[in-house]
Amino acid sequence: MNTLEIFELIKKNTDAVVSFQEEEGPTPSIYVRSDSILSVMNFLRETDELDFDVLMNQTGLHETESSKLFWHLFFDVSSESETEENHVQEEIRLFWHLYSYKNKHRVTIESSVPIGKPEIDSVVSIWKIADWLERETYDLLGVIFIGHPDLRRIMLPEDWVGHPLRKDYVAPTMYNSIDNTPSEITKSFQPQKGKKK
Amino acid sequence: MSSAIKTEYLTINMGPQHPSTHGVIRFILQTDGEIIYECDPDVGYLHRGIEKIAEGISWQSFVPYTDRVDYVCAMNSNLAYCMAVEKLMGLEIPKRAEYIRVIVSELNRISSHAVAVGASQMDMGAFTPFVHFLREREHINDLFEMVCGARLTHNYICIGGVNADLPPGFIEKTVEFLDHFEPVAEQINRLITYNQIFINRFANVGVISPEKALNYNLVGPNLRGSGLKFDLRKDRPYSIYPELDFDVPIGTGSHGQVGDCYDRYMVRILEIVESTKMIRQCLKMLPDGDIKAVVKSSIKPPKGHIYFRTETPRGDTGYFINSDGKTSPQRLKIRTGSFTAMAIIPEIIKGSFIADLVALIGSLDIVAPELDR
Repeated sequence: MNTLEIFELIKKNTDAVVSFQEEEGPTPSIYVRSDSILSVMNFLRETDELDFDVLMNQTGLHETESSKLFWHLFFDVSSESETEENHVQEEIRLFWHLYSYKNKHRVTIESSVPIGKPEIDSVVSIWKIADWLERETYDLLGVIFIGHPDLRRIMLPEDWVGHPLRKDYVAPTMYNSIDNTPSEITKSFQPQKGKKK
Repeated sequence: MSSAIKTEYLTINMGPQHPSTHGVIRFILQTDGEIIYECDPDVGYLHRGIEKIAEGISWQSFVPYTDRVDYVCAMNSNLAYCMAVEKLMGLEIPKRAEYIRVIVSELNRISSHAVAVGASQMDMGAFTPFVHFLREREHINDLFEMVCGARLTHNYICIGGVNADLPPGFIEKTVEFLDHFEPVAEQINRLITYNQIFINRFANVGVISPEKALNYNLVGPNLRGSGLKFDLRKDRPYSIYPELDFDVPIGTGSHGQVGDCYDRYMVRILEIVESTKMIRQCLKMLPDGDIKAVVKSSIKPPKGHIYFRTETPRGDTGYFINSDGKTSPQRLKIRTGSFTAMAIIPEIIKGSFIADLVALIGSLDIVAPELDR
């Protein structure tokens, strides 16, 4: 079953806000609004003809303003964020890659959360592996998964500040009295500022 | 009259420098006597931020970093990344390059599985077989040195093909190695695989049911050890694997239950044999021609994202790449087999001996740098 058929099935059987997106890249995906992610995932897991028994990968990326807010062109996502004082400029796009070992088909589910309030429902209740994958996304991108049993850092130490895979992250110069400023030798290998481009 | 003995759980720190945890992995164990009551893996000691590095460098310069993602099977890691980028660009690569890629990655699979089974035997206290496996691995490293000049981190497979053609004499040397290796593999099996003490340590230990394996997304030999016949090379074929004739060994519970440590060990032993078959076929079918497609020095894949999986020795390695049409990836994420294998340990190990944890880590073939990236 290809992504388009799966999309039609979701649209027919759930009241979630979804849209099919065939990008220029090789992978088409289904966009789901962040508030209905859990119901869609449950539907994908429970329906017999879909039966996505494996969550292959869960990840996210920080979309900055420069690379435009793609989904806002299709949905009125701003309605919920307009109530907040500052209008959301950036977002975190989240991806779930599902596979069905039984039916041998795959699908990519996509969603996005505003950078000011990066909260989304956890899918640990459906796939156990989501436990660690979501911890990693929380650790490196700062997305908070509501309903996760044990949401703490996994790769970085627990006293680390910030989420490194965000585009505006600045590496600390000092950590636990370990100096991290580059030495003169290291600097000589680094590209010179202003020289680039 | 109450004379009950008060007992309390003891917290034990295992690692990060424990000799039998492959690399630097730490477990915090709550034990009741020698029985593990709770296990909390603490990972991240080898986190080098490879995914962040990728966002700052060009597409081609990331290839040497993939060597370091998993240094036990660097060729397969190269291949996984390069194929993902090629799929994103829609690049066709020459037939000869495809064959060379499969030959070197299957050679690397043999050496990786040799280290995996050797190390798990060493964890069980049998040191000698490990040395035998390392000796065989040296032959493969010599072959790689012929091909690309490096023994462990190769940077051989590149976007668009391979970096250098096979040197003269490589095919003969490889056939010579295979002729030598096939009987040796059987000798090592007689030395350790059918040893009753070894079987007792591995059989019926760390049983993973197929349902649990899917729920935790176990991949590769670990999944096949649980009795599920799934191999990306067969079921979602890529490269030239559809043209090759090979079997997919699965766990049968030959000395215990399906999905125990011995099954996972046995699957690796059998896969070594399948790999030798594949290399022989490839060497026979190797065509002439170019070894690299025409690729610009500064590539800019079109906008879009891809999640591409290839079968590496530690299960399928998935590369998620998002490109925004610039000279470096916008986001790159590596989903590795060790990561999911590590996640399942706390669930499986409850109620077993501490010594069984060592067996479980060995049989799941966890490599720390791949786990932390």
